[in-house]
Amino acid sequence: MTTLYENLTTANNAGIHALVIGIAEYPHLLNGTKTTTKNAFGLQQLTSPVVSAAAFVDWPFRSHQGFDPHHLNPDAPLLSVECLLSPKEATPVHTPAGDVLVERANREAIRLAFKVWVSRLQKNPDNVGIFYVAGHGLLDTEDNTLNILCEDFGFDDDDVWSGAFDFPRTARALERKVRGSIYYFVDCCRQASKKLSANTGKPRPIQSIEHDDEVIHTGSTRLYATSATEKAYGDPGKVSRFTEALLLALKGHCGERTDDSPIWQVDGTTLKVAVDKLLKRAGKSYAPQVPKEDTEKSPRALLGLTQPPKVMVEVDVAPDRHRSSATVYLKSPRGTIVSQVTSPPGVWQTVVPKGIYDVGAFAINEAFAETTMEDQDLSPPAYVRVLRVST
Amino acid sequence: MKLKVALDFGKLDPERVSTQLLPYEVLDSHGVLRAKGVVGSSYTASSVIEAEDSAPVFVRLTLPSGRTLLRKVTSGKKAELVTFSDSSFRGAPWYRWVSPRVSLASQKGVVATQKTISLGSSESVWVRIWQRSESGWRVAPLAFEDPESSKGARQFERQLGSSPFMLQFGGAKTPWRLMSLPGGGRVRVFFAAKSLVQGTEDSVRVVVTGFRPIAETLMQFLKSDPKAAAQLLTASQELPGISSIDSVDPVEALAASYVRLRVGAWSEEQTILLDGYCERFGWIPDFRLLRAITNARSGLSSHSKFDACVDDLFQSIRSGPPIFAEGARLIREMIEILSDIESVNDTDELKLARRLLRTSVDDGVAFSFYGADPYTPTVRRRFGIPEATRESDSRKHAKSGKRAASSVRSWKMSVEEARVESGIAGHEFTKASLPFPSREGSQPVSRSDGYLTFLRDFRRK
Repeated sequence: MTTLYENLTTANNAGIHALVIGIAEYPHLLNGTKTTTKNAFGLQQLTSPVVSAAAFVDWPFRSHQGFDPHHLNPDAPLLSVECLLSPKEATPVHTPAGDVLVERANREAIRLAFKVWVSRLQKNPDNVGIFYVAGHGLLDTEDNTLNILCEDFGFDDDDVWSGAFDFPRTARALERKVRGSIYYFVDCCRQASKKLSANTGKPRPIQSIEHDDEVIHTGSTRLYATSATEKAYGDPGKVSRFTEALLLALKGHCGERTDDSPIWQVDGTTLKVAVDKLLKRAGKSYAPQVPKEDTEKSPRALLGLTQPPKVMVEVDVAPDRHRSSATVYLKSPRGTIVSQVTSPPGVWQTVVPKGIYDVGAFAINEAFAETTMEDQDLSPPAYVRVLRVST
Repeated sequence: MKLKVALDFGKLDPERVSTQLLPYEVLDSHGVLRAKGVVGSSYTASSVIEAEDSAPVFVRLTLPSGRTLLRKVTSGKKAELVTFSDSSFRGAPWYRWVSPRVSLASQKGVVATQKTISLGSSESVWVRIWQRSESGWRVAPLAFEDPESSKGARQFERQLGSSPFMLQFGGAKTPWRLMSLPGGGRVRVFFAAKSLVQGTEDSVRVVVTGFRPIAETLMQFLKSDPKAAAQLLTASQELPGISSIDSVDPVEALAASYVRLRVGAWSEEQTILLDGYCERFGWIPDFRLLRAITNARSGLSSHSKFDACVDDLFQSIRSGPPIFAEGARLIREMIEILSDIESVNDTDELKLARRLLRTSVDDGVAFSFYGADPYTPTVRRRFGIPEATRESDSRKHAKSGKRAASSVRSWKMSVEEARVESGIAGHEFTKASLPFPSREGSQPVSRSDGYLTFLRDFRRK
């Protein structure tokens, strides 16, 4: 296991503890570097999971003013980050203390890192846990259970599941172990294999469920990259679509604030809505990928942002012959122009803080009458509209 | 400033089927939440907000479908009334109650009343109802009332007794599906073609109401925003003129229990209430499922607790699928908890529970799954009319013993009676065989048994 960051001075206070796992190289799967298992289920080598996990682990370390453990959540500072990566070639991870090469994500390493992460979470009932995993996932159609494959999957053909773990039962076990809140981000395919159903046996969870113990957790959110039986996508060598959307959401494209607090809070439901919209927006030319969220009880907010969430705005003028003579604007309810463009060459794109705006366009040469859509609710992460003008 | 918020949803939905309670938020122009509340069809809500200056505020009403309605309020007055009406809702008047629940597409002509009764250009849909009794599932008389139809949409109502019921439908392009119906009252079932309803994977979208708008709104919000569901539940107990959610209506009590469990608001009092519900409404499988979960979550620290938990789960599974889709989450949790206990894992009940999960459809608040009949959830989707696959079903049932035998009987009965009732010659459906009249000159339809088809020119190839 590799600890990328640990705040020992406040380790017993409430804060965020993260465990990040990315697995791209599977030596025993197709085109791997070692003997291919007879239970490969047609699965190949990957590249995106390690890039995605590295990008995810980079997120809590970055803020506008350098590293500040409180920048994610003033009430719950970042207390520790544990990471395991299985890249094809050594991939250093950027940390506040410099670049670090991390241990590989075989099952035993994951088990040990998991144990450390859980023990940290158990230190304070207000702790918030982050469990991020990217790699191969296989749906067990009998139970609709997602099995996550570790780097050493297929090492032992007599015990095919020795290099995998049962994710839902692992998460279920923690409901009886950890009082705090946990956010699970699972960037894996959830497809079933026909060969899998014929196979005997099942993988074990990393943590067994103690049936005698009562459920003590405050709440949890599981955010899956895709729906059951569906694929999750990522371009080779690039951050996956889900992680890209998740990071964009986490970096200020979602959040809700009440009148009595200056903090914009981000919880599981808010995140799911944002990630869903961002995936739809990015995936217009791809196969659809619909994330699934499951929130149990009332988990503590993951993030507390001091800045209002940002909204990516796309406004097009139709018919497009009027674009060249159009000035498109966003106006606040007090009548102040917040953003505008003249003669946009295509769809006008801008970023504004969340809020209620009038969206309109007027013609420089009176080619069309001024058109306004009043009181538009620009909620993060994105607002997309076509402004139809007429002469 | 005192903001009063009102719903005017009664004009086109006089029975107030669509909704009685909806959450609203008061936002400033920066999207900051200034206040929130719940408004009802027969109750005007009010929120007091501090009017800092002349800046406007906005009232945002969220419908169960996820659609939001926004109204601007220019401050300056001491009080302001904001009314949300259903006048902008799409759909013909008879199915406008569906509009807050699902997003209806804007299609010119779709809302117009038509003589044709097809759900699409080449689609046909058949439907039947299963009822659970002590001897098992059987096909129940359809006895539909108040049928309505227009291009792309159909609707009927029926009275259901206090036992589990399932609606089954299928067609040439519609995979056979079974959907739980809330018993113990009247139900209205609405069918819409894919072209009419947004976000539907199957070619047909089915929306059911048991005329329990509070319970149904709670369950819809529980799917999309559990916090809003919790807020609605609290408000439902406080609003004047609306009966308490803890009243004797079992489906409302069930919805409230689901919400409390999901958002972590379960108390000792709920456990006592649940015991009463299990006793009094034993025909609703969900209650025993809920009790199994609450037992499991409290720790199975003794043999007696373990046995009681497993017994509740098994009785629930045996008595039928849950009414609400939320039940699928609980079944999944129970399987995850118990699957490493061999004596439980290999039982028929847990196998059936797994099949239900595998085949369940994430579409709406009612529990539904793909299958040939209530005993046979099937991953492989079936299409067409029932008799086309009857033989293969029989083979499957033959392997699974007693229960299968009873379902085969039901099955054969349904097919044969349908032939008589519908006047089906061979596999052809003729115009005369149509049980549904068009909207113009519509007559109440009452049928003794069998299944109905919606398309008059269906031909088997």
